[in-house]
Amino acid sequence: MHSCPWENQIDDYLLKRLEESERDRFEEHYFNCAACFGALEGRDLLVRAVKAAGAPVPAAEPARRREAGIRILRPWMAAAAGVLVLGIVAGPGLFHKRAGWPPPIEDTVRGGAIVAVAPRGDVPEAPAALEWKPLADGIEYSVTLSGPGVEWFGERTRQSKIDLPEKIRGALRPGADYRWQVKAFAPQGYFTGNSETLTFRIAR
Amino acid sequence: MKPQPTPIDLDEVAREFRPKISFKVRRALGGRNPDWEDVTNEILAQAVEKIRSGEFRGDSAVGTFIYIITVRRIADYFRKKTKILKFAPEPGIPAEPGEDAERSEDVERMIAALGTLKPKYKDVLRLYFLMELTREETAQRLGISPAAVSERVNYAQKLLRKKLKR
Repeated sequence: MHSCPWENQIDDYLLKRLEESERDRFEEHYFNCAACFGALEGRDLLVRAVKAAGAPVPAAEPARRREAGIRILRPWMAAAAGVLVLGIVAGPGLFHKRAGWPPPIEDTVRGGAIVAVAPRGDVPEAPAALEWKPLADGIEYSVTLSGPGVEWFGERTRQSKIDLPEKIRGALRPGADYRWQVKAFAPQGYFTGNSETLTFRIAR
Repeated sequence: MKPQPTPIDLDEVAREFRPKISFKVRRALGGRNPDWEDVTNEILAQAVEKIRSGEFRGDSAVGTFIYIITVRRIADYFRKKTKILKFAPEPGIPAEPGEDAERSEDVERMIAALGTLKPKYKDVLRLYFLMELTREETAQRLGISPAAVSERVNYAQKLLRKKLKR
């Protein structure tokens, strides 16, 4: 089956990263393109299996959660987690080729790990800042915002709030949907969790 | 003389578009929602009827025609559900259903196959699909290039497809 230039949108579609209009265009496309639909179905199965296999550990104190987390994990994830823990305990010398390995899986949560506070839903005017609940000292946050007029805005901060530059605020359009998300990184640099993707819209 | 439009094989339409409609419907309603199959059948029936009755004139691609019917029917479904829920003590339907955690036989077999992958493929799949890092973030975490991330994901999928065929 020949490949199609639209195939590079498949992952973004499945992970819900496309804007609404892009999503609609891509969906209309796969209704008309056998190559893309075939690739989409295949990738969808993989994504569903990976997500089902690695269901996140519920938020709880890390020490207590550690044991419970391993019980919940699928065997292949638990095996990987076991090797990861060994790597961290043994030090970088033992696994020098695996420098920068991810943290133990039980320390990583998805979705609601960070609570994004505002803006969300309908807002009366362009928001001055993006805010979320802080996790812990030393955490660095990576914030991204996208939508019409804002091709890509991304910043890092150690605060639990980021002020939007005037240039970005001025580019926000009433009536349009904007999406933003926060990711957290531990002091050692590894990813520890992210917020849900929030949507907001400025009233016309 | 104006060329006659190619007659549409309705059986072929049903064969080709049922999987596409059900994919879209299941994503919209959630795989665990028992209504998805009925909604899919309704959409297919409506599409076939409209083509048979001549309502589809070939101004757009057949896929586009059926896609529009699908989107409208899904919107109708949620509109009706919202009206019913207004008067019933049930939680509302989310705009986007949460991750579809249904465990079909295919998913179970894929999970088993995932367990046989080498760590470098498991790592990239976990970071990219489970933790939903971008390609660039995944690359940074693994110390490889973004292009290498895509290669590993695609190769992992190829390996898994081979294992599932056995």
